[in-house]
Amino acid sequence: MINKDPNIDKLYQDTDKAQPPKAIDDAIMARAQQAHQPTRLGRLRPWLAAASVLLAVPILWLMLEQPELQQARQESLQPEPVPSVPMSTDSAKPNAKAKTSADTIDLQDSETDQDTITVTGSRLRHQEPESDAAGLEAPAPAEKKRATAKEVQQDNQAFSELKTEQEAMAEDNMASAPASYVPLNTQMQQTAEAMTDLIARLKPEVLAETEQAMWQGLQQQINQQQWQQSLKTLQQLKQSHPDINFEPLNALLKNISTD
Amino acid sequence: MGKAMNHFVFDLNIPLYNGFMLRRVKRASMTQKSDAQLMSIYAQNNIHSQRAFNILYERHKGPLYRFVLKSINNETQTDELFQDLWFRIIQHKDRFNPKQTFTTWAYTIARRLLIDYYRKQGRRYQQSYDDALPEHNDEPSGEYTLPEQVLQQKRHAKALQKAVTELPADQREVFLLFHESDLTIQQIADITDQPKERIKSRYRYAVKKLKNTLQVLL
Repeated sequence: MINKDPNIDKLYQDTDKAQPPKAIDDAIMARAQQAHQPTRLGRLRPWLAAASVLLAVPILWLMLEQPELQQARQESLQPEPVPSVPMSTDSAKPNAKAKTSADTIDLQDSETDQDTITVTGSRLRHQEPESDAAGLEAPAPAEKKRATAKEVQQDNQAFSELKTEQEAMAEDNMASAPASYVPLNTQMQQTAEAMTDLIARLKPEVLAETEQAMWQGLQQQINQQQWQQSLKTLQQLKQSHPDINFEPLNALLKNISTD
Repeated sequence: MGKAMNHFVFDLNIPLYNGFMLRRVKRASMTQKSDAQLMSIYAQNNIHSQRAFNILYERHKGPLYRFVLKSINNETQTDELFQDLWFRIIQHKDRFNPKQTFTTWAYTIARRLLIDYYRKQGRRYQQSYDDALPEHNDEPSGEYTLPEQVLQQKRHAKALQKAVTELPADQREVFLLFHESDLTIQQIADITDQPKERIKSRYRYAVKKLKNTLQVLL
Protein backbone atom coordinates (compact mmCIF):
# COMPACT_ATOMS: atom_id res chain seq x y z
CA MET A 1 0.00 0.00 0.00
CA ILE A 2 1.25 3.40 -0.89
CA ASN A 3 -0.02 6.69 0.46
CA LYS A 4 0.01 10.12 -1.05
CA ASP A 5 2.87 12.29 0.08
CA PRO A 6 1.01 14.70 2.41
CA ASN A 7 3.18 17.74 1.72
CA ILE A 8 3.10 17.31 -2.02
CA ASP A 9 -0.61 16.59 -1.93
CA LYS A 10 -1.36 19.67 0.15
CA LEU A 11 0.74 21.78 -2.17
CA TYR A 12 -0.86 20.22 -5.22
CA GLN A 13 -4.36 20.99 -3.96
CA ASP A 14 -3.36 24.66 -3.81
CA THR A 15 -2.53 24.69 -7.52
CA ASP A 16 -4.81 26.31 -10.03
CA LYS A 17 -8.04 24.35 -10.47
CA ALA A 18 -8.53 24.89 -14.14
CA GLN A 19 -11.95 24.16 -15.64
CA PRO A 20 -12.96 23.64 -19.27
CA PRO A 21 -14.30 26.71 -21.07
CA LYS A 22 -18.06 27.25 -21.15
CA ALA A 23 -18.16 26.81 -24.92
CA ILE A 24 -16.78 23.31 -24.60
CA ASP A 25 -19.27 22.49 -21.85
CA ASP A 26 -22.08 23.57 -24.13
CA ALA A 27 -20.73 21.64 -27.10
CA ILE A 28 -20.44 18.46 -25.05
CA MET A 29 -23.93 18.86 -23.60
CA ALA A 30 -25.35 19.45 -27.06
CA ARG A 31 -23.63 16.34 -28.34
CA ALA A 32 -24.93 14.32 -25.41
CA GLN A 33 -28.45 15.50 -26.19
CA GLN A 34 -28.05 14.77 -29.89
CA ALA A 35 -26.98 11.25 -29.07
CA HIS A 36 -30.54 10.55 -27.93
CA GLN A 37 -32.10 11.50 -31.24
CA PRO A 38 -31.15 8.50 -33.34
CA THR A 39 -31.57 6.10 -30.45
CA ARG A 40 -35.19 7.07 -30.08
CA LEU A 41 -35.59 5.47 -33.45
CA GLY A 42 -33.52 2.64 -32.08
CA ARG A 43 -36.48 1.45 -30.04
CA LEU A 44 -38.40 1.09 -33.26
CA ARG A 45 -35.51 -0.66 -34.92
CA PRO A 46 -36.96 -4.19 -34.68
CA TRP A 47 -40.27 -2.97 -36.04
CA LEU A 48 -38.54 -1.07 -38.81
CA ALA A 49 -36.54 -4.15 -39.70
CA ALA A 50 -39.66 -6.28 -39.77
CA ALA A 51 -41.47 -3.71 -41.91
CA SER A 52 -38.58 -3.49 -44.34
CA VAL A 53 -38.53 -7.28 -44.66
CA LEU A 54 -42.27 -7.31 -45.28
CA LEU A 55 -41.81 -4.73 -48.01
CA ALA A 56 -38.70 -6.24 -49.50
CA VAL A 57 -39.98 -9.81 -49.84
CA PRO A 58 -42.87 -9.03 -52.21
CA ILE A 59 -40.65 -6.69 -54.21
CA LEU A 60 -38.03 -9.41 -54.58
CA TRP A 61 -40.70 -11.89 -55.50
CA LEU A 62 -42.03 -9.54 -58.16
CA MET A 63 -38.53 -8.94 -59.45
CA LEU A 64 -37.96 -12.65 -59.74
CA GLU A 65 -41.25 -13.08 -61.51
CA GLN A 66 -40.70 -10.13 -63.78
CA PRO A 67 -38.28 -11.72 -66.31
CA GLU A 68 -40.78 -14.47 -67.03
CA LEU A 69 -43.51 -11.94 -67.52
CA GLN A 70 -41.30 -9.89 -69.77
CA GLN A 71 -40.31 -12.95 -71.75
CA ALA A 72 -43.94 -13.94 -72.17
CA ARG A 73 -44.77 -10.44 -73.28
CA GLN A 74 -41.91 -10.38 -75.74
CA GLU A 75 -42.99 -13.70 -77.14
CA SER A 76 -46.53 -12.50 -77.57
CA LEU A 77 -45.38 -9.26 -79.15
CA GLN A 78 -42.92 -10.82 -81.56
CA PRO A 79 -43.91 -10.19 -85.18
CA GLU A 80 -45.02 -13.06 -87.33
CA PRO A 81 -42.24 -14.41 -89.54
CA VAL A 82 -41.96 -12.38 -92.71
CA PRO A 83 -42.49 -14.54 -95.80
CA SER A 84 -39.47 -14.97 -98.01
CA VAL A 85 -41.47 -14.01 -101.09
CA PRO A 86 -41.85 -10.24 -101.12
CA MET A 87 -45.32 -8.81 -101.43
CA SER A 88 -46.34 -6.94 -104.51
CA THR A 89 -45.79 -3.22 -104.18
CA ASP A 90 -49.27 -2.55 -105.44
CA SER A 91 -50.97 -4.77 -102.94
CA ALA A 92 -49.12 -3.17 -100.04
CA LYS A 93 -50.34 0.08 -98.63
CA PRO A 94 -48.32 2.79 -100.29
CA ASN A 95 -48.00 5.06 -97.26
CA ALA A 96 -46.84 2.25 -94.96
CA LYS A 97 -43.59 3.05 -93.25
CA ALA A 98 -40.86 0.49 -92.73
CA LYS A 99 -42.00 -0.71 -89.33
CA THR A 100 -42.01 -4.38 -88.46
CA SER A 101 -43.03 -4.60 -84.83
CA ALA A 102 -46.47 -5.82 -83.97
CA ASP A 103 -47.23 -2.77 -81.90
CA THR A 104 -46.66 -0.35 -84.69
CA ILE A 105 -48.59 -2.46 -87.13
CA ASP A 106 -51.53 -2.60 -84.77
CA LEU A 107 -51.36 1.09 -84.22
CA GLN A 108 -51.18 1.77 -87.90
CA ASP A 109 -54.18 -0.41 -88.54
CA SER A 110 -56.20 1.30 -85.90
CA GLU A 111 -55.14 4.67 -87.24
CA THR A 112 -56.12 3.78 -90.75
CA ASP A 113 -59.43 2.48 -89.46
CA GLN A 114 -60.02 5.78 -87.78
CA ASP A 115 -59.02 7.55 -90.91
CA THR A 116 -61.64 5.72 -92.87
CA ILE A 117 -64.27 6.76 -90.37
CA THR A 118 -63.34 10.35 -89.66
CA VAL A 119 -61.73 11.27 -92.88
CA THR A 120 -62.47 14.73 -94.24
CA GLY A 121 -62.23 16.10 -97.70
CA SER A 122 -59.00 17.92 -97.10
CA ARG A 123 -57.43 14.79 -95.62
CA LEU A 124 -58.44 12.77 -98.63
CA ARG A 125 -56.97 15.32 -100.98
CA HIS A 126 -53.76 15.18 -99.05
CA GLN A 127 -53.69 11.42 -99.42
CA GLU A 128 -54.68 11.32 -103.03
CA PRO A 129 -51.26 11.39 -104.66
CA GLU A 130 -49.94 8.58 -102.48
CA SER A 131 -53.07 6.52 -101.98
CA ASP A 132 -53.81 5.44 -105.49
CA ALA A 133 -54.50 1.90 -104.45
CA ALA A 134 -55.46 2.11 -100.80
CA GLY A 135 -57.58 5.19 -101.11
CA LEU A 136 -59.83 3.73 -103.76
CA GLU A 137 -62.47 2.80 -101.26
CA ALA A 138 -62.48 6.18 -99.59
CA PRO A 139 -65.80 7.97 -99.56
CA ALA A 140 -66.30 10.84 -101.92
CA PRO A 141 -65.28 14.17 -100.40
CA ALA A 142 -67.82 16.76 -99.44
CA GLU A 143 -66.73 19.06 -102.19
CA LYS A 144 -67.34 16.41 -104.79
CA LYS A 145 -70.78 15.73 -103.43
CA ARG A 146 -71.61 19.26 -104.26
CA ALA A 147 -70.30 18.82 -107.81
CA THR A 148 -72.56 18.10 -110.69
CA ALA A 149 -73.78 14.57 -111.33
CA LYS A 150 -71.90 14.47 -114.61
CA GLU A 151 -68.61 15.10 -112.97
CA VAL A 152 -69.34 12.43 -110.45
CA GLN A 153 -70.11 9.92 -113.12
CA GLN A 154 -66.88 10.76 -114.91
CA ASP A 155 -64.94 10.34 -111.73
CA ASN A 156 -66.53 7.02 -111.01
CA GLN A 157 -65.70 5.77 -114.44
CA ALA A 158 -62.12 6.89 -114.12
CA PHE A 159 -61.84 5.23 -110.74
CA SER A 160 -63.32 1.99 -111.93
CA GLU A 161 -60.96 1.89 -114.90
CA LEU A 162 -58.00 2.58 -112.69
CA LYS A 163 -59.11 -0.08 -110.29
CA THR A 164 -59.36 -2.76 -112.92
CA GLU A 165 -55.95 -1.83 -114.29
CA GLN A 166 -54.38 -2.05 -110.84
CA GLU A 167 -56.02 -5.38 -110.08
CA ALA A 168 -54.64 -6.78 -113.29
CA MET A 169 -51.18 -5.48 -112.47
CA ALA A 170 -51.35 -6.91 -108.98
CA GLU A 171 -52.28 -10.33 -110.32
CA ASP A 172 -49.37 -10.19 -112.72
CA ASN A 173 -46.98 -9.29 -109.96
CA MET A 174 -48.24 -11.99 -107.64
CA ALA A 175 -47.80 -14.51 -110.36
CA SER A 176 -44.37 -13.31 -111.39
CA ALA A 177 -42.83 -12.68 -107.97
CA PRO A 178 -42.45 -16.30 -106.77
CA ALA A 179 -41.04 -17.21 -110.13
CA SER A 180 -38.16 -14.83 -109.61
CA TYR A 181 -37.40 -15.47 -105.93
CA VAL A 182 -38.30 -19.06 -105.12
CA PRO A 183 -35.82 -20.71 -107.45
CA LEU A 184 -33.02 -18.64 -105.96
CA ASN A 185 -33.78 -19.98 -102.49
CA THR A 186 -34.10 -23.52 -103.68
CA GLN A 187 -30.90 -23.13 -105.67
CA MET A 188 -29.07 -21.98 -102.56
CA GLN A 189 -30.45 -24.85 -100.55
CA GLN A 190 -29.44 -27.29 -103.23
CA THR A 191 -25.93 -25.85 -103.36
CA ALA A 192 -25.64 -26.02 -99.60
CA GLU A 193 -26.73 -29.65 -99.64
CA ALA A 194 -24.26 -30.40 -102.39
CA MET A 195 -21.52 -28.77 -100.35
CA THR A 196 -22.52 -30.78 -97.29
CA ASP A 197 -22.22 -33.99 -99.33
CA LEU A 198 -18.88 -32.84 -100.61
CA ILE A 199 -17.64 -32.09 -97.08
CA ALA A 200 -18.79 -35.52 -95.93
CA ARG A 201 -16.79 -37.11 -98.74
CA LEU A 202 -13.68 -34.97 -98.28
CA LYS A 203 -13.55 -35.13 -94.51
CA PRO A 204 -10.89 -37.59 -93.28
CA GLU A 205 -11.95 -40.15 -90.74
CA VAL A 206 -9.17 -39.48 -88.28
CA LEU A 207 -8.87 -35.88 -87.19
CA ALA A 208 -7.25 -33.88 -84.46
CA GLU A 209 -9.50 -31.86 -82.15
CA THR A 210 -8.70 -28.53 -83.79
CA GLU A 211 -9.21 -30.00 -87.25
CA GLN A 212 -12.50 -31.52 -86.15
CA ALA A 213 -13.59 -28.13 -84.88
CA MET A 214 -12.64 -26.50 -88.17
CA TRP A 215 -14.62 -29.03 -90.21
CA GLN A 216 -17.64 -28.61 -87.97
CA GLY A 217 -17.30 -24.84 -88.19
CA LEU A 218 -17.26 -25.02 -91.99
CA GLN A 219 -20.36 -27.19 -91.97
CA GLN A 220 -22.19 -24.77 -89.67
CA GLN A 221 -21.17 -21.74 -91.70
CA ILE A 222 -22.47 -23.38 -94.86
CA ASN A 223 -25.70 -24.31 -93.14
CA GLN A 224 -26.08 -20.74 -91.94
CA GLN A 225 -25.15 -19.48 -95.44
CA GLN A 226 -22.16 -17.50 -94.18
CA TRP A 227 -20.26 -17.82 -97.40
CA GLN A 228 -17.37 -15.43 -96.78
CA GLN A 229 -16.53 -17.04 -93.47
CA SER A 230 -16.85 -20.46 -95.07
CA LEU A 231 -14.24 -19.45 -97.63
CA LYS A 232 -11.88 -18.38 -94.89
CA THR A 233 -12.36 -21.62 -92.99
CA LEU A 234 -11.80 -23.51 -96.21
CA GLN A 235 -8.49 -21.71 -96.69
CA GLN A 236 -7.43 -22.81 -93.23
CA LEU A 237 -8.47 -26.37 -93.97
CA LYS A 238 -6.45 -26.27 -97.17
CA GLN A 239 -3.39 -25.40 -95.17
CA SER A 240 -3.95 -28.18 -92.65
CA HIS A 241 -4.83 -30.78 -95.34
CA PRO A 242 -2.67 -30.06 -98.40
CA ASP A 243 -3.31 -33.56 -99.73
CA ILE A 244 -7.09 -33.09 -100.05
CA ASN A 245 -8.53 -31.52 -103.18
CA PHE A 246 -10.84 -28.75 -102.03
CA GLU A 247 -11.27 -27.18 -105.47
CA PRO A 248 -14.84 -28.34 -106.16
CA LEU A 249 -15.97 -27.05 -102.78
CA ASN A 250 -14.05 -23.84 -103.26
CA ALA A 251 -15.60 -23.28 -106.66
CA LEU A 252 -19.09 -23.84 -105.31
CA LEU A 253 -18.51 -21.46 -102.43
CA LYS A 254 -17.09 -18.79 -104.71
CA ASN A 255 -20.00 -19.06 -107.08
CA ILE A 256 -22.58 -18.84 -104.37
CA SER A 257 -20.84 -16.03 -102.54
CA THR A 258 -20.62 -13.93 -105.74
CA ASP A 259 -24.35 -14.55 -106.38
CA MET B 1 -69.06 25.86 3.74
CA GLY B 2 -65.77 27.52 4.58
CA LYS B 3 -64.46 24.37 6.17
CA ALA B 4 -65.47 22.28 3.17
CA MET B 5 -63.76 24.75 0.84
CA ASN B 6 -60.56 24.62 2.85
CA HIS B 7 -60.71 20.86 2.84
CA PHE B 8 -61.17 20.83 -0.94
CA VAL B 9 -58.20 23.12 -1.48
CA PHE B 10 -56.11 21.03 0.86
CA ASP B 11 -57.12 17.88 -1.03
CA LEU B 12 -56.04 19.50 -4.29
CA ASN B 13 -52.72 20.56 -2.81
CA ILE B 14 -51.75 17.10 -1.63
CA PRO B 15 -51.05 15.60 -5.05
CA LEU B 16 -49.23 18.77 -6.14
CA TYR B 17 -47.11 18.67 -3.02
CA ASN B 18 -46.47 14.96 -3.46
CA GLY B 19 -45.38 15.49 -7.05
CA PHE B 20 -43.04 18.30 -6.04
CA MET B 21 -41.50 16.19 -3.26
CA LEU B 22 -41.18 13.20 -5.54
CA ARG B 23 -39.30 15.31 -8.04
CA ARG B 24 -37.02 16.63 -5.32
CA VAL B 25 -36.37 13.13 -4.03
CA LYS B 26 -35.69 11.89 -7.53
CA ARG B 27 -33.32 14.79 -8.17
CA ALA B 28 -31.57 14.15 -4.91
CA SER B 29 -31.42 10.44 -5.53
CA MET B 30 -29.97 11.05 -8.99
CA THR B 31 -27.07 13.03 -7.54
CA GLN B 32 -26.46 10.26 -5.02
CA LYS B 33 -26.11 7.64 -7.70
CA SER B 34 -22.73 6.21 -8.52
CA ASP B 35 -20.92 6.98 -11.76
CA ALA B 36 -21.67 3.54 -13.12
CA GLN B 37 -25.37 3.94 -12.36
CA LEU B 38 -25.46 7.35 -13.99
CA MET B 39 -23.69 6.03 -17.04
CA SER B 40 -26.16 3.16 -17.25
CA ILE B 41 -29.06 5.59 -17.05
CA TYR B 42 -27.49 7.69 -19.75
CA ALA B 43 -27.00 4.65 -21.95
CA GLN B 44 -30.65 3.66 -21.47
CA ASN B 45 -31.80 6.75 -23.40
CA ASN B 46 -34.78 7.53 -21.24
CA ILE B 47 -36.06 10.88 -20.00
CA HIS B 48 -33.50 10.93 -17.15
CA SER B 49 -30.55 10.31 -19.44
CA GLN B 50 -29.62 13.90 -20.04
CA ARG B 51 -29.74 14.71 -16.34
CA ALA B 52 -27.63 11.68 -15.54
CA PHE B 53 -25.07 12.84 -18.06
CA ASN B 54 -25.07 16.36 -16.65
CA ILE B 55 -24.30 15.06 -13.16
CA LEU B 56 -21.61 12.76 -14.47
CA TYR B 57 -20.05 15.56 -16.49
CA GLU B 58 -20.08 17.97 -13.58
CA ARG B 59 -18.40 15.39 -11.38
CA HIS B 60 -15.56 14.55 -13.70
CA LYS B 61 -15.02 17.48 -16.01
CA GLY B 62 -12.56 19.26 -13.72
CA PRO B 63 -10.21 16.39 -12.89
CA LEU B 64 -10.29 15.09 -16.47
CA TYR B 65 -9.63 18.53 -17.89
CA ARG B 66 -6.72 19.16 -15.54
CA PHE B 67 -5.32 15.70 -16.17
CA VAL B 68 -5.19 16.44 -19.90
CA LEU B 69 -4.00 20.01 -19.39
CA LYS B 70 -1.16 19.09 -17.06
CA SER B 71 -0.19 16.16 -19.24
CA ILE B 72 0.37 18.22 -22.37
CA ASN B 73 0.65 21.73 -20.91
CA ASN B 74 -1.11 23.31 -23.88
CA GLU B 75 -4.49 24.91 -23.36
CA THR B 76 -5.69 24.94 -26.97
CA GLN B 77 -4.80 21.32 -27.51
CA THR B 78 -6.30 20.46 -24.14
CA ASP B 79 -9.63 21.93 -25.17
CA GLU B 80 -9.67 19.83 -28.32
CA LEU B 81 -8.60 16.66 -26.58
CA PHE B 82 -11.04 17.16 -23.73
CA GLN B 83 -13.92 17.68 -26.13
CA ASP B 84 -12.87 14.67 -28.14
CA LEU B 85 -12.69 12.63 -24.97
CA TRP B 86 -16.29 13.40 -23.99
CA PHE B 87 -17.52 12.92 -27.52
CA ARG B 88 -16.04 9.45 -27.39
CA ILE B 89 -17.66 8.77 -24.05
CA ILE B 90 -20.99 9.80 -25.55
CA GLN B 91 -20.43 7.83 -28.72
CA HIS B 92 -19.45 4.63 -26.93
CA LYS B 93 -21.85 4.90 -24.04
CA ASP B 94 -23.35 1.54 -24.93
CA ARG B 95 -19.97 -0.11 -24.55
CA PHE B 96 -19.58 0.96 -20.95
CA ASN B 97 -19.39 -2.01 -18.65
CA PRO B 98 -21.15 -1.26 -15.34
CA LYS B 99 -18.81 -3.67 -13.55
CA GLN B 100 -15.97 -1.34 -14.43
CA THR B 101 -15.68 2.03 -12.73
CA PHE B 102 -16.46 5.05 -14.86
CA THR B 103 -13.23 6.76 -13.90
CA THR B 104 -11.12 3.80 -15.05
CA TRP B 105 -12.98 3.77 -18.36
CA ALA B 106 -12.84 7.53 -18.91
CA TYR B 107 -9.17 7.85 -17.98
CA THR B 108 -8.31 4.91 -20.21
CA ILE B 109 -9.89 6.76 -23.12
CA ALA B 110 -8.13 9.96 -22.09
CA ARG B 111 -4.80 8.18 -21.91
CA ARG B 112 -5.26 6.70 -25.39
CA LEU B 113 -6.07 10.10 -26.76
CA LEU B 114 -2.93 11.48 -25.17
CA ILE B 115 -0.84 8.70 -26.69
CA ASP B 116 -2.34 9.52 -30.10
CA TYR B 117 -1.61 13.16 -29.49
CA TYR B 118 2.04 12.46 -28.65
CA ARG B 119 2.29 10.25 -31.72
CA LYS B 120 0.94 13.00 -33.95
CA GLN B 121 3.31 15.47 -32.39
CA GLY B 122 6.17 13.16 -33.25
CA ARG B 123 6.99 12.68 -29.60
CA ARG B 124 7.27 9.19 -28.34
CA TYR B 125 5.16 8.49 -25.31
CA GLN B 126 8.08 8.20 -22.98
CA GLN B 127 8.43 4.95 -21.21
CA SER B 128 10.06 5.03 -17.88
CA TYR B 129 13.77 4.96 -18.26
CA ASP B 130 14.13 4.39 -14.55
CA ASP B 131 12.04 1.22 -14.57
CA ALA B 132 15.18 -0.79 -14.96
CA LEU B 133 16.57 0.67 -11.79
CA PRO B 134 16.17 -1.41 -8.65
CA GLU B 135 13.12 -0.44 -6.71
CA HIS B 136 13.77 1.03 -3.33
CA ASN B 137 11.03 1.19 -0.79
CA ASP B 138 12.25 4.23 1.05
CA GLU B 139 9.33 6.50 1.77
CA PRO B 140 9.82 10.12 0.83
CA SER B 141 11.79 11.74 3.59
CA GLY B 142 10.05 15.15 3.45
CA GLU B 143 13.28 17.08 3.81
CA TYR B 144 11.73 20.51 3.33
CA THR B 145 9.06 22.29 5.30
CA LEU B 146 6.16 24.17 3.70
CA PRO B 147 5.94 27.89 4.46
CA GLU B 148 2.82 28.86 6.30
CA GLN B 149 2.11 32.08 4.57
CA VAL B 150 -0.53 31.89 1.89
CA LEU B 151 1.46 33.88 -0.62
CA GLN B 152 4.36 31.60 -0.27
CA GLN B 153 2.04 28.63 -0.59
CA LYS B 154 0.80 29.96 -3.90
CA ARG B 155 4.34 30.43 -5.08
CA HIS B 156 5.15 26.90 -4.07
CA ALA B 157 2.03 25.60 -5.79
CA LYS B 158 3.06 27.28 -9.02
CA ALA B 159 6.50 25.82 -8.69
CA LEU B 160 5.01 22.40 -8.13
CA GLN B 161 2.80 22.79 -11.19
CA LYS B 162 5.85 23.66 -13.26
CA ALA B 163 7.77 20.75 -11.78
CA VAL B 164 4.95 18.35 -12.60
CA THR B 165 5.03 19.37 -16.27
CA GLU B 166 8.74 18.64 -16.31
CA LEU B 167 8.33 15.09 -15.06
CA PRO B 168 8.79 12.18 -17.50
CA ALA B 169 5.50 11.39 -19.15
CA ASP B 170 4.83 8.07 -17.45
CA GLN B 171 5.70 9.41 -13.99
CA ARG B 172 3.64 12.53 -14.60
CA GLU B 173 0.75 10.38 -15.68
CA VAL B 174 0.85 8.31 -12.50
CA PHE B 175 1.28 11.38 -10.34
CA LEU B 176 -1.66 13.18 -11.95
CA LEU B 177 -3.94 10.17 -11.82
CA PHE B 178 -3.07 9.67 -8.17
CA HIS B 179 -3.31 13.27 -6.96
CA GLU B 180 -5.62 14.94 -9.46
CA SER B 181 -8.12 12.20 -10.09
CA ASP B 182 -7.92 10.48 -6.72
CA LEU B 183 -7.58 7.07 -8.30
CA THR B 184 -6.19 4.10 -6.44
CA ILE B 185 -2.95 2.43 -7.44
CA GLN B 186 -4.95 -0.53 -8.69
CA GLN B 187 -7.10 1.69 -10.89
CA ILE B 188 -4.01 3.42 -12.27
CA ALA B 189 -2.52 0.00 -12.98
CA ASP B 190 -5.69 -0.96 -14.83
CA ILE B 191 -5.72 2.24 -16.85
CA THR B 192 -2.09 2.11 -17.82
CA ASP B 193 -2.08 -1.65 -18.19
CA GLN B 194 1.00 -1.93 -16.01
CA PRO B 195 1.77 -3.97 -12.88
CA LYS B 196 0.91 -2.35 -9.59
CA GLU B 197 4.49 -2.42 -8.39
CA ARG B 198 5.67 -0.49 -11.40
CA ILE B 199 3.04 2.14 -10.76
CA LYS B 200 4.19 2.47 -7.15
CA SER B 201 7.75 2.76 -8.32
CA ARG B 202 6.87 5.46 -10.82
CA TYR B 203 5.01 7.41 -8.20
CA ARG B 204 7.92 7.30 -5.78
CA TYR B 205 10.32 8.47 -8.45
CA ALA B 206 7.92 11.24 -9.41
CA VAL B 207 7.63 12.47 -5.82
CA LYS B 208 11.37 12.30 -5.34
CA LYS B 209 11.98 14.33 -8.49
CA LEU B 210 9.36 16.86 -7.53
CA LYS B 211 10.93 17.38 -4.14
CA ASN B 212 14.36 17.79 -5.65
CA THR B 213 13.05 20.28 -8.23
CA LEU B 214 11.15 22.21 -5.59
CA GLN B 215 14.24 22.45 -3.44
CA VAL B 216 16.10 24.00 -6.35
CA LEU B 217 13.25 26.33 -7.30
CA LEU B 218 12.34 27.55 -3.88
